[in-house]
Amino acid sequence: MALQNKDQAAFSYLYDNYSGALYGVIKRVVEAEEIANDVLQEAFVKIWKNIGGYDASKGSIFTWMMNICRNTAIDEVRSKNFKKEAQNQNIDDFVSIVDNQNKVEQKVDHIGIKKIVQNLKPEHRILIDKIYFEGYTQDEVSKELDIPLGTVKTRLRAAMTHLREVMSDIK
Amino acid sequence: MNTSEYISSGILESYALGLCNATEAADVERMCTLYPEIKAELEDIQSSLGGYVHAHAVNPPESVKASIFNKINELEKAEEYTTPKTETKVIPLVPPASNQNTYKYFAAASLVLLGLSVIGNIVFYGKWKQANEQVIALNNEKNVLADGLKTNTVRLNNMQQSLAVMSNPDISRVMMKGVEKSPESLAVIYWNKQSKEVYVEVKNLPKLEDGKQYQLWAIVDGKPVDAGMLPLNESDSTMIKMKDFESAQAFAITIEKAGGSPSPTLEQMVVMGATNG
Repeated sequence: MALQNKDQAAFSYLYDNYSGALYGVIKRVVEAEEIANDVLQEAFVKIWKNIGGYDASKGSIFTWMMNICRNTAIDEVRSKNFKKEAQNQNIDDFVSIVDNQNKVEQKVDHIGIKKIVQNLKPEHRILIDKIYFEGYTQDEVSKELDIPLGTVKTRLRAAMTHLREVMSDIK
Repeated sequence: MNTSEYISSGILESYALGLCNATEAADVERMCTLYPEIKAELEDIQSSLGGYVHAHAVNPPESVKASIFNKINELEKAEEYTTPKTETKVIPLVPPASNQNTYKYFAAASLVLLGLSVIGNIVFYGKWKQANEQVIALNNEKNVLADGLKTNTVRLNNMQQSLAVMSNPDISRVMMKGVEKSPESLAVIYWNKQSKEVYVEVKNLPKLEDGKQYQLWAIVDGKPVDAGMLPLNESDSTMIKMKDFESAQAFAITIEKAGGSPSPTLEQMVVMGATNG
């Protein structure tokens, strides 16, 4: 496999296709652009070093790359005590996150984020974003958002079902 | 649990969201390999999440790509000079080189030892052979010396005997001188008339041809009487005991056929001597 031979052209192709989505995830976690740039670089270097360990039978390469990016971003945040700040965010802060996302969607309009936003309830989006983008556990989300754990679980199931419906519509 | 129950349990969503612990994750991965419909379901969930992520894509600054590739090129160069330190564990198909080297060292060492052993064997075999030859040579030498000693002992005994005979005051000596045809020949009779013992000492007698032997005769009352055969090869001056005689006028030695004759061949007489009584 070309990628596993560390072929730079193939790696460049990976970067061109996925760096936007991965950068989006990283920015959700670390926010500050300079740090997000560093995290993206660190994550891609890790991808480069570990591409030989990627097992295609365990999932898509995007999922694998995204886990590396998200974990690198979370490590960065935790190492710099960003966690405390993040924990201090109240529910209102998420409005600003959503607002930020609205800025993002202007850049990337080909997938139809408007349709997603229109069709997904905000409380569903927050759960998916917290858990999938930022690596929160359901317990952490329960505390963060002050929602009972059982509700978090039920709501997450509903969010996922809803997301799949919306995504299949877009396709 | 059938596959539709498994799918509706929500475990696949948890897995896709990264909420599963290691045991649950391994179980999901196992189920996916066993049931294609579960795998398809999981892929659909992951694809939905992927699409959701893509919808949030933000293009990173152009400079980031360049700096990533710079970093990678640095790493590649570093790898050329240093041992590659990959983070993925590589399990070699062949046993580690160190083991192979160990075996190689053992093999080489045993070959060297074998070689030394062969050389040692050749050297020691050579030395052993040499020593063995020396032992054989010394043994021969010892035998020669022992023979010599034996000869000398015999000779000494004879001489002591001769001395005893000669120093006996009862002994009378009869010189047997060479006859005309062998004037150089000489033999001596030592005769103890009391004990009747007769000894002969050959001083000089011609060497005999094969099949011939010297025979001593005593002339008693004018007639020759056999006094015994001289031993073959007994040319040295040793005293040889012959037959006893109480009286004799003369003694003579003739050349006879080996084993002796009943009467002397007078023309073959070599020495003769008259007694004084």
